[in-house]
Amino acid sequence: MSFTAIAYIIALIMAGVLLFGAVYFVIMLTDLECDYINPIDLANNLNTYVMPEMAAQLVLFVVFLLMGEWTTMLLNLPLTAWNVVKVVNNRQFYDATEVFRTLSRHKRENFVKVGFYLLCFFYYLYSMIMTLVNESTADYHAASAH
Amino acid sequence: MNNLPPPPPPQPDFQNGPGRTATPPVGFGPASSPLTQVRPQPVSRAATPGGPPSVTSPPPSEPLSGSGRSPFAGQPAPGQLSPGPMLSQGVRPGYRPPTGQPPMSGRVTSPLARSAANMLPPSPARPMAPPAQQQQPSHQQQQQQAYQQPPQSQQPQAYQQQPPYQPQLQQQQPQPQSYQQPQPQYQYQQQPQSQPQQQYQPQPQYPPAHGLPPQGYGQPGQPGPYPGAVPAGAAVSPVRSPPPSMAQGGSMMPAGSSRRRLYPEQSMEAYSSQQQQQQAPQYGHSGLPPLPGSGQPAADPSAGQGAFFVPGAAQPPIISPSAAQGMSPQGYPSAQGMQQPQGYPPPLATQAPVPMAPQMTDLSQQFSQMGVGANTTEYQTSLLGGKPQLSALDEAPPAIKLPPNAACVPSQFIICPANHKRSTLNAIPRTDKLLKKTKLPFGLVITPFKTQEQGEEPIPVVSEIVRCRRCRTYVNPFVQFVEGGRRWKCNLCGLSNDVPLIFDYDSATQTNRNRWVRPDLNYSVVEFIAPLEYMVRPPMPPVYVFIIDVSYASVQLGAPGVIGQTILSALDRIPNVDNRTKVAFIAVDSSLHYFQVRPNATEPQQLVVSDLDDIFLPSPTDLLLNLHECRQGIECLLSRLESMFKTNHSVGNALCPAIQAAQKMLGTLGGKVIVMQASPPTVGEGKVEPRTEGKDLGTSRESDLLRPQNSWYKTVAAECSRTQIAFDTVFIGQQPMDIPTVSCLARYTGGSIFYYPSFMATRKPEVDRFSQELSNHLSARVALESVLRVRASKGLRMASYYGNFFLRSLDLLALPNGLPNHSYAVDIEIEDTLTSPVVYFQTALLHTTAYGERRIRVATLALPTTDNIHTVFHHADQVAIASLLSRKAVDRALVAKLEDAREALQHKALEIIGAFKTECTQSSSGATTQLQIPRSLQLLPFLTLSSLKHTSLRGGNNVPTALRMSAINSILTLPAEQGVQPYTVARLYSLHDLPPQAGYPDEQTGITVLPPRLGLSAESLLPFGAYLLHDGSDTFLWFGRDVSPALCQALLNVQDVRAIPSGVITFPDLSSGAGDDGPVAGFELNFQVNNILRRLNDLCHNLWKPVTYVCKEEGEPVLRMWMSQRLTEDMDTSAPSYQQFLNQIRDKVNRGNF
Repeated sequence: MSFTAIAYIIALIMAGVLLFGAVYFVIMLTDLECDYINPIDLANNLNTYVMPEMAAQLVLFVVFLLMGEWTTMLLNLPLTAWNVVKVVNNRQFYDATEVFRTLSRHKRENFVKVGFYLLCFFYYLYSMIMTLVNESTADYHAASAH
Repeated sequence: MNNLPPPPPPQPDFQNGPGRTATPPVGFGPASSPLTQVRPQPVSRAATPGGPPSVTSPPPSEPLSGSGRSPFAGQPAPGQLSPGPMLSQGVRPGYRPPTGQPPMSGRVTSPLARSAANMLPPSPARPMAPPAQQQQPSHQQQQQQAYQQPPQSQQPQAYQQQPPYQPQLQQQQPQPQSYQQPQPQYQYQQQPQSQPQQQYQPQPQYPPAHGLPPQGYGQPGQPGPYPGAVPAGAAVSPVRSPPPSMAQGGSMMPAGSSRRRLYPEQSMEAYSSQQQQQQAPQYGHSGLPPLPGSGQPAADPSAGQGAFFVPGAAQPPIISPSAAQGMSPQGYPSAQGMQQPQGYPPPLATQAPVPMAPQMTDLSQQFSQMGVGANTTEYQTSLLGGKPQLSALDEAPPAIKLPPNAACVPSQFIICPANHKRSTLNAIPRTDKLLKKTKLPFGLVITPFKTQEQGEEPIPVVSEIVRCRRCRTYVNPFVQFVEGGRRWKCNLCGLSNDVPLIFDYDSATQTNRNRWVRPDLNYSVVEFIAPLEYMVRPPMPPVYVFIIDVSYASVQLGAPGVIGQTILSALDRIPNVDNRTKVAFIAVDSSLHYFQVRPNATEPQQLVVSDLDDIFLPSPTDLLLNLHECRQGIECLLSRLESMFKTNHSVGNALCPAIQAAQKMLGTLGGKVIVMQASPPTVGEGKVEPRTEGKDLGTSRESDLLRPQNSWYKTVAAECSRTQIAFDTVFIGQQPMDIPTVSCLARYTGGSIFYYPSFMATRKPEVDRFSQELSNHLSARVALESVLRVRASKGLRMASYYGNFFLRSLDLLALPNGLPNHSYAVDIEIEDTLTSPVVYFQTALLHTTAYGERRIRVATLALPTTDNIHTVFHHADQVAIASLLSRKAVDRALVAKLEDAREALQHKALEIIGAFKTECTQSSSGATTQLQIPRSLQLLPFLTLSSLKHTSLRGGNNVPTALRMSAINSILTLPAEQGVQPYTVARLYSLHDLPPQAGYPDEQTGITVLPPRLGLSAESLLPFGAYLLHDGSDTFLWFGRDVSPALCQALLNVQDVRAIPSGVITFPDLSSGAGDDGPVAGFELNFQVNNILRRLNDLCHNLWKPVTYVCKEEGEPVLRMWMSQRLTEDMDTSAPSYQQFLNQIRDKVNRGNF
C-alpha cells in the first residue's frame, strides 16, 4: 500500500470526524437559537474545537500539497485560505457577547462546511479506492509482467 | 453675530436688554404654550385619515347608518357645527380658514409671525397670479363648502356659514370636526401644486387667526396630507348634497360614512370610533354577544358625559366610550357577560375601577389636548427657510389611538407611558412591505426600571401572577375574557387560558373579588411580586466592590482622597434597608491591597498581595464587609485612603488581577464592582498597550481605536454576567486608559461608564461633579440579578438590541445590575402580515430589589396597526426615531467605521423624507422647491444633524477617542427623553431678558417655569446678552462683550464682564444664606438662574452634575469652540448648517437620489 493510499485513508477518517464536528457546530448554534443553551456555554464549548478543526484541515492541506495531489490540494485551498484569514484577523473564536449578532453568518458558514466535508469525504473515498485499485492493478501488471 | 445691529450702550436695566425690549424674545411664541397652540388641531386629526382619494362620496348604502348605535346619534345638528371650529369658523366668512400659513411676505416682523414663518420659506419672487387671487375668497369658500359636504352630506349648507352659532355650540360636536377636516387638506394640497403660498400674500395683515398664538404658531404648514383628496373634493359641487333633515338623528351616518370614505377599511378598525362601535364584538369580546347595555350608553351622549367624546378627536383614545358613563356596570361589557352564567353579583359602580371617575372629564380633556396634540395631527409641513421648531421636542409623542374596546376594562392607564416604553411608530404598518416603503425605522426604546417621577403615581403592585400557558405572557389589560369569563385569551399568542379562581374569589379571606379592579387589568405598567418559582437562590443583598486605582498617576490627581471622601459621604445613601448590604475595597497599584475589617473593629487591616500570577484571597473572611456591622472600620478606612497612599510611587496597575479577585470574592453571591481607574492596566492578561491616536483621528483608521484591544474584558464580562456581577467603570484624568477596551466590562454587564478627563483634586467644580455623580450613582435604586424579556405579538421579531447588557438569548437581556436611568432599544422586524387591529409588546423585568424582594415589572404597550401609509407617517415619533437611529449609528461606528455610521444616519433621514415625498405628496416625482415632511417628523432633519454633530459621531480630528467612547456609551444607554434632549440637542436660554416669572415656581403646578428657548445658533447670541446653554452634562454661560455690568452684578456678583473669570466656575448661589425661599434683593437674577439650573437637572433625573463653563464672546477659543459645537444649527468644520443640510436633502430628494 502506497503512501498516497494511506494518506487518503487518513484523510477519509479525518473528513468524517470533521463532518461530525461541523454538524455538531450547527446543532449547537441551532440550540442557541432555540434558547436551549446560553451563549457563554456555547462559546466556551465551541471555542475548544475551533483550533483543532483548523489544524486538522491545515494538516490535510499540507499533506496533499507535499504529496503533489494537486486536485485535492486545490479542493482544500479555499477553506484553508478562509481559515487563515480568520486567524490573522483574530476572528476565529465565537464571542459570547456578539454571537447573536453573527448567528446567521455562523450558521451559514457551518452549513457550508458540512457540505464541504461531505463532499471531501466522498471524494477521499473515491480517491482512496482509485488509488488502491490503481496500485493493485499496477501490482497485478507488474506481477504478470514477471 | 455680525449681522446684528451695533450694540446699544449697556443699560442698567438688564432685565430688558436693549434692543430686545421692543421685540418679545424670539423663542417665546413656541415655548409659551405648546399645548394650547396645538389644541385646535385635534379637531382635524382624527378625522383626517389619509384616504384614497378615489372614494369621495359617501357610499349610498352605508351600513353604518343605524342611527341608534352611533355614539353621536341624536346630537342636534347645529351643535355639531362647531367645537374646535372656532378656528375655521371665525375665519370663514371673509377669508380662507385657518391654514396657519403666515403672511408670506418674507419680511416678518412680529415674533409670532416669525415663528410661523419659519415653517415656510419666504415665498420666492414669483408673481402672483391675479386672477387666482381674486377668485380666491369666493372660490375658496365654494370649495370649502363643496368639500365639507361630502363627508356630512346631510348637513345643510347654511350651517357652515353661520358663525354666530358657534360660540353657543357645545363642546361635543363630533361632526364638525370630522368634516372640518377636509378643508385644510384641500387647501393645503393645492398649495404646493399650483399656487404656492401666494394665496396668502394678498392679505398679509390677515388678522385674528394669525394673531392668536394657537394659529400663528401651531398651524404653519398644517394642512392635511391627502393629496388625493383634493381633486375629489374639488369635484364635488355644492349642489350635490341636498339639505337633509336634521332631526333625524341620522346625522351620525354621514360622519361615519365620511370616515369610511377617507379611511381604507382596515385602518378604520383602529382609527374610527364609530366603526369600532360596530365592530366591537369582533375583537373586543369575541366570545360575548354584544350586550344591549354596552353599546347603548356610549351611543347616547345625552347622559351629560358627552363632553367626553371630543369630537373629531374620534374620542379620547384611551378610555372606551363606556368609561364615559361614569362606571356604570354596563360599562364593563365583559363583566356583565360573564356575570350571568356565574351568578356573580354585578360589579357595583363603586367597585369598578373608580379611581379615574372623578377626573374623567379633566382627563378626557387632557387627552384630547395631548393625545390629539400637534404631533399627531396629520399635517405636513415645509422645512426650507425655517428654523427648527425645538418646542416640538417637549410635546408628547403622537397619541396611540386604540380601538375603544381594545382593553378588557376601560381604564385610562392602559396606555403605556412613553417614558417606560416608546415606539418609533405609534401606528404600525401591517406588512413589512409597507414598512419598507416608509423607510421609517421600527423599534422600541425601553426604560424598564424607570425612576418614579415627581407627581407620578406609584406603580401598582400585584401579588398573584397569571401568565399564558404557551407564550408566558403576563396577564394585562388587553387580554380578552371569553366563554362567559371563564377563560382568558392571550393577546399575544391567542391561546385560551383558564381564569384562575383567585380572580374572583379570595380563598384567604373567603370573599368574592371583583376582577375588574385588578391592577394588572387596569394598568399597563405593574409590578408583580414573584413567588419562589422565580428564584434560583435566595434574593441577593446589594453588594459593592470598589476597585480603586492608587498608582502614582492616580495619587498625582488626588483621586484616592476624593474617592474616599465621596464614598464616605455616600455610605448613608447606599441602599441598605435591612442591613444586608456588603461592601469591599481593593486598592490597586502594581500589587493588590485588600482591606480586612472585623465586625465592630475600628481599625481596618491592609493586606498586600504582590503575587499576581495566581489570584487568591488573602483572607477567607472579613474582606466582604457588612456595611452595617463594619461601619466604623469602613469609615476609618475611607477617611484614611488619601494619607495611606499619599507617597505611593508605584506606577503599575494590576486591574486584571483585581477583577479576578473581585470575581472570587463575589463568587456565587454576585454584586456590583465599581472600577475607578486613572491609569491603564499594565499587569495580567488584560493589560493594554498604549495606542497612539493622534495621527489616526479623523481618518478611516479612527474606528479601529474604538474597538477593544483584546477580548479579555469581554470574556470576563460575559462570565461575570452569568454570576450576576456587574461592572461600572469610572475613568479619571487624561492619561490614555484605553477606555474602549476596559469599558467592555460595563458594556456587557449592564453597567455605566463615567469619564472625568479634567479631574483634579484641586479643581473644586470637577471634584463636585465627580462626587455628586458617583454619589447619585451609588444611591440609585438597584435591580439586582435582573433579566429583561421582550415579547411581542405574532408576526413581529426582535431583530437586534442596543444598550449595555448581555444578550442571553434572542429575547432575553441579562442585566446583573439594572439601573433606573438605563434604557435599551430594540429593532423590530415585521415577519408576517399583521392581521389584528392592535399589536402588543410586553417587557418584563425580573429583578431583586435592594430589600430582598423578587419582583417583575411588566409593561404592556398596545399599538394599532394600519394599512395606510399616511397614518404611519403621521404617527411616527421623531424623538424615539432619533434615539433609535443614533443608537444604531453609534453601534455601527463600533463595529464598522465612523464614516459608515454617519453616512447611514444621514442616508436614513434622506430616505424617509424621500419616501414621504414619493408616497404621500402629489409631487411624487419631479423637483419641488419645498421639502415636505409630516409634522410629526418635522424635526427629523434637525435631530439627524445634531446627532451627526454630537461628540459621539462628530467628524474631524479633534475628538479624542476616550471622549467619543464615553459619548457613544451615553447615547447607547440614555432614555430617549434625555438622550435626545438635552444630550444631543442642548437648551439655550437668554438671561438678560428673562421673563419675570421664569425661575419661579408656577402657581398651579409648582414646577419652576423655564424661560423661552432660543434657536441653537450663534445668531441667537447678541453682544449685549448673557446666555445659558445646557446640554445635561455641561452648562455654558455665554457673555457678550457688551453685557451690562448690572447683569454681571446680579448674576455673579462681579463688577462687569471683565471681572468674570473665564473657564470653569462654580455657579454661586447668592441667595443661599437669605431665608427660605426668596432671593436676596439685587440678586434676583442669580436666584432665578439657580432655580432654572435646578429644574434642568431635575429634567435629567439628576443624572449629571453639570460643570459651569464661563465663555465670553472674546474669551478663550477652546471654550468658544466647545460651545459652538453645541449650536447645531450652525455650520462647522465637519458638518453643514441646518439650512445647507436641508438644501442637500432637497436636492438629493429631487434627483430621486436616495
